[in-house]
Amino acid sequence: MTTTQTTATPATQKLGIATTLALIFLLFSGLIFSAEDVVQGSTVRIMYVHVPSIWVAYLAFALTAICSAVYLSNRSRSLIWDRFAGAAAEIGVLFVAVSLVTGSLWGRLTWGTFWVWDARLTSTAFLFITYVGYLAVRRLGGTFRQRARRSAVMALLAVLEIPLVHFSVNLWRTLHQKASIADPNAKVKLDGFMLFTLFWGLISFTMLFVWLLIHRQRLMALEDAVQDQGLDLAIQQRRTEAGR
Amino acid sequence: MTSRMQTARRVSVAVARKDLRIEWNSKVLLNQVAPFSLVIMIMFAFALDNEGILQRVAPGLLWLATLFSMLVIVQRSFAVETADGALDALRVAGTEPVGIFIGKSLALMVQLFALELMLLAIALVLYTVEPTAMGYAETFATMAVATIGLGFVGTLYGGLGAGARGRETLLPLLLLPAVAPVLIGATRATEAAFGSGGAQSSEGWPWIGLLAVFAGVFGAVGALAFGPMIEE
Amino acid sequence: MDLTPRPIADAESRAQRQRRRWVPIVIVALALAAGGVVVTQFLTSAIDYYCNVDEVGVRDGCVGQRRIRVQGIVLENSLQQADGVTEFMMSFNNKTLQVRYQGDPGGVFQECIPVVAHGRVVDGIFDSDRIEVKHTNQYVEKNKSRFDEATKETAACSQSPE
Repeated sequence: MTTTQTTATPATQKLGIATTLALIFLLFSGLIFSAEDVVQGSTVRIMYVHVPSIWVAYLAFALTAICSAVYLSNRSRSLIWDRFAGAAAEIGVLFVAVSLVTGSLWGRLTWGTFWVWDARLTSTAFLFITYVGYLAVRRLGGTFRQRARRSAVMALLAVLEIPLVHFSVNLWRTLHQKASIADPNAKVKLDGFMLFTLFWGLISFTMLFVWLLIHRQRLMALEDAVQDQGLDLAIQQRRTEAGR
Repeated sequence: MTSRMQTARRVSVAVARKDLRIEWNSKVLLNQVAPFSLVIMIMFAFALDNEGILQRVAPGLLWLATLFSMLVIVQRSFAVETADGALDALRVAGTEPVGIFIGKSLALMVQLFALELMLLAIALVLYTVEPTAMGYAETFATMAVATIGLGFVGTLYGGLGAGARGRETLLPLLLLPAVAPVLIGATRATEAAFGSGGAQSSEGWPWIGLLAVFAGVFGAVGALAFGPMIEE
Repeated sequence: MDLTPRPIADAESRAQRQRRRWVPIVIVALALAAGGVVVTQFLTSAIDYYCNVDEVGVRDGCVGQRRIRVQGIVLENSLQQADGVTEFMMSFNNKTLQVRYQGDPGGVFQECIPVVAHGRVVDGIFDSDRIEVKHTNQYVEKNKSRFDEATKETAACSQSPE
């Protein structure tokens, strides 16, 4: 094993470059090309990070649940599914946090307060702590199979919160506004270039997610391998001790 | 199938009796957990001793104190099992895992309910809460249903962390997010029962419904998952 | 308690085992469905963040002397600010409510947009100590064109929040 080993392959390198370019364009599009909002002014630009972040979090947690279900239902019980589930959940937690932070900054400027306990914000906070708990379960120790099984059960339960979070603004009256584009009544409520920038944000953040996910999964595989090797080494040492 | 269910029932009663007898003999609940929760209630009063505030937030404090104390009880409930490999022994003996789950949940529920009654009495005295007769009925209903849910979740997550390194520090992180819905539901229902902040008692029943659903979900999930969780 | 290992029951057929696996899953699904019904059908008013102006004193949870949160649109030309006291009329569904507020409402507070005020009704006036702006889900570019600007100006107060 060489010391210069990396988790990158030519394919992920290309994806990484494409993601970087997409994010740079998002930066220009969001900060310079797109117009201010009539009511909010420049504050509206937070949306181009806030909405893609929570989108990535939904995507990540859905993927965690899917990989967990595949792990549990598959006879081979391949640990790669568990690692993908764990990697996706970690990234998801990160992006919920980004969404919460950007959202509360926007809330301070637009609503006049960082935080309120309406259904949307409360359920999102709940989603966040649930997945922090999920990551804690993954760190409980034991064998990889134990980790995989425990966390898979939890992931399948936790993913049910996503519809609750997403539809909280339709089920109840909240201070948080309803969705502007993913609205069942399907009337786009964003002016043209704002809408384009938001879509661009969704695309580039999704690319970022995929890139991070692949690298994290590979890193986890290496971590697991290191742990295995450590165990093998320890057994070897005991054996030689006993043999002496 | 029926014979399995009978076995599970026998096992659950035996496990519950065993847990409660250990508790009766060691008196940990009485000598450590109860004083701990009393101290929490008094500390809350010190922190929030401001005109009217204590009365308004009494329901939330009652349930927070319950959850904190519950952490200690769950910790204790599984420390007993893992200390001498008792859980492993039960498993190797082929004991029905559903029976262990339900038995330990029952024991936990009994202890929690006793604790909640004590906390309620403390709240009545220290926080000057005065529920009506209807309010009392609602409070007891809330406590009963919430306790069932807490018992199932506590046992499921306690079993999950049993035997793991750093269990003491991990358990709160695992358990508190899972019981957040109980905290919300039970607090709202108790607010309605106490009439805190002008809440009407009719507002509490839907929340008790939510607590019942929570208990049902975690009872079923626990019965399903407890076996695989403690295996391997 | 008898702890001797039990023999594995061979009599139990594969179909029975299959069924046993599904029973708890079905129970979980039913319980979750019940949860959905409770949350969406019975808990709506309890989880709603605010009452609308027309529901004050009418709807469950919006009555009496208790603290409530009221949502409405700040009426045009009703805003008066003096000595740190902000007074305005709030309207929704053709009902109006006078609001008195101490201090400077933050955010993008202005006329013709929906706001949520926290407080109590005292002598028919809503005595508020906290105001939040409820932004709608409409985003409109500034300086799009003069024509648009002009139409927006006249249409501003007629936009209805959800």
